[in-house]
Amino acid sequence: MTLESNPAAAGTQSDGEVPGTDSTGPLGALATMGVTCLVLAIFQTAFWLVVPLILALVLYYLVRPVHLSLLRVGMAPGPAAGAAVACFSAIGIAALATSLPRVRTLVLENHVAVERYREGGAQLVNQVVVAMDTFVTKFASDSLRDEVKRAIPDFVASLGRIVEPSMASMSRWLPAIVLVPFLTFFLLKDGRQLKTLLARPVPNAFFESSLVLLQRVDEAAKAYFRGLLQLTILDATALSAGLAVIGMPHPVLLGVASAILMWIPYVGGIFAAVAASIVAITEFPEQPAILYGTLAWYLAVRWLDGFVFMPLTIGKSLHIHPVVAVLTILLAGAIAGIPGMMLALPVFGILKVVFDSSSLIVLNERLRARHRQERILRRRQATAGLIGITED
Amino acid sequence: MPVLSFPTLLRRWNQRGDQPYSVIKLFSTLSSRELKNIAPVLHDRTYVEGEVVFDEGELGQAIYFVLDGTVSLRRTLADGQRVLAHMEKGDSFGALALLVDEPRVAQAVAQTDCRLAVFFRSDLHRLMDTQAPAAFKISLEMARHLAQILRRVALNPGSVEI
Repeated sequence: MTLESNPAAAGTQSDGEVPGTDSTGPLGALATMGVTCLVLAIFQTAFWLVVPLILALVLYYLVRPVHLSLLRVGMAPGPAAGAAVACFSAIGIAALATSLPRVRTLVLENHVAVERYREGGAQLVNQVVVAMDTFVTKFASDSLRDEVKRAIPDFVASLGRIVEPSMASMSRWLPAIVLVPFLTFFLLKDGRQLKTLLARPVPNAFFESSLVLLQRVDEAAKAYFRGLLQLTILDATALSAGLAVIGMPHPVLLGVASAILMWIPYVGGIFAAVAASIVAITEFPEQPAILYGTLAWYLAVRWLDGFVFMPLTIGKSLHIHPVVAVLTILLAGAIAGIPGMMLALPVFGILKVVFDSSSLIVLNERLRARHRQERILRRRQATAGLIGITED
Repeated sequence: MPVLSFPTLLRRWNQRGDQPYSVIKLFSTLSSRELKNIAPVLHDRTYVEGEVVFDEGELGQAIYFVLDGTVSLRRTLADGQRVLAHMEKGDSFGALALLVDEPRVAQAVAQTDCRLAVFFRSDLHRLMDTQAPAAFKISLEMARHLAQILRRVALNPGSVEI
């Protein structure tokens, strides 16, 4: 083959680009949302791996600076990954070992404390029902009042229908948590080789562009998990500060636990608010202002989380418009429940990068022509000297 | 049983011959251990005679090393296409892509069946972050290579260099 028969003029790379495939446009965003929902629906059966995988990725980005520091001082990648993961695992085990005896004491020996919080919970439910009853009697007609009374048990039942399967799924996920350090270790140790392995089957013509795409996907994932960490810190700080001002006991512990619960979109925030309300009503039964303050603060932070913090951290890190982010989370929740909500944004972000870059690779006429040329040349070489087989 | 002397041990310690990428000139100053550490991020590719490795005008982010075979670099000039250079075993091409975000200045075509190793810019950046001495040695070799080109261009102002 000569150059004359395969002209390679300057600038041909951009000739194959297809306008309008950028997923930042409304149609592109809609298409990406649709594919995101499709992917989540297809992979529903493997959701038991979602929690360990997400935790492993969070731990990976948390541990990576330590891993890089160890590499910098001359350690080999394997031992460095092992040391970094072992260090964080040791901290986790130590924290668990320290807290377990206290939890055990609280649950098994100190029945009084458990009973107190249980009674606090019951008191909260009673107060909510009484308040509802008073409110409805005062302002609503009899028919509406009956309707609301019927709706309350229905609502509780429907909440049960959401929570019970989720709790059952979580109990299935718990053994998989053991995978977290292993997954993190191999991500740290073999992350680079994984890229080489993924690139191996890619044809020569698309190879360099595909590697650039992989790099962008990695950056998008990194941005998401960095965003998730920032979001957790923002939520934890806001909640802890507010609870401290209100006068709640252990504000930092409550704030951090609530921020982690908020990883589960929407429902996590409700669980956190209910738990904080039980603590408030148990510790301060004669001061309803503290309960109302706690609830109001949780509502405010939940609003901030959904409309300010999340678009600013995760949404901004993935360059997703806030409206698109909220819509995608809602759609994914309707299709795949709580795990779908958790996965909606990272899957959307990665697909967005893939779609944005696909025009540069698969739809590029020049690259496709080069790939055809490679196949022809290889076939010609393979069939050289064989009688009865045409070359092309 | 033969006794290994200290110089023999040292020689074996520094032996680079069994490393698959020891033929690469840009890595000539790397130690055996540094070569071993860099190997997992290099991509091995095979090309058949006449196949285009990359095009002129294409945006690239990688440098290519010839492990086996010959690659020719061609450029479109006012008077037609010209072969600028033939890259042999151990040579590297496309080095500018490691440094700048600009289109390739020449087309690379496999002159014979060849095996190439590919090294990406992001991997060089990571190397700078984690294995600074190795990254420094590679950068220095690259600077020498570019300096030689500059010198040749300065001595022959009419020539086209790559």
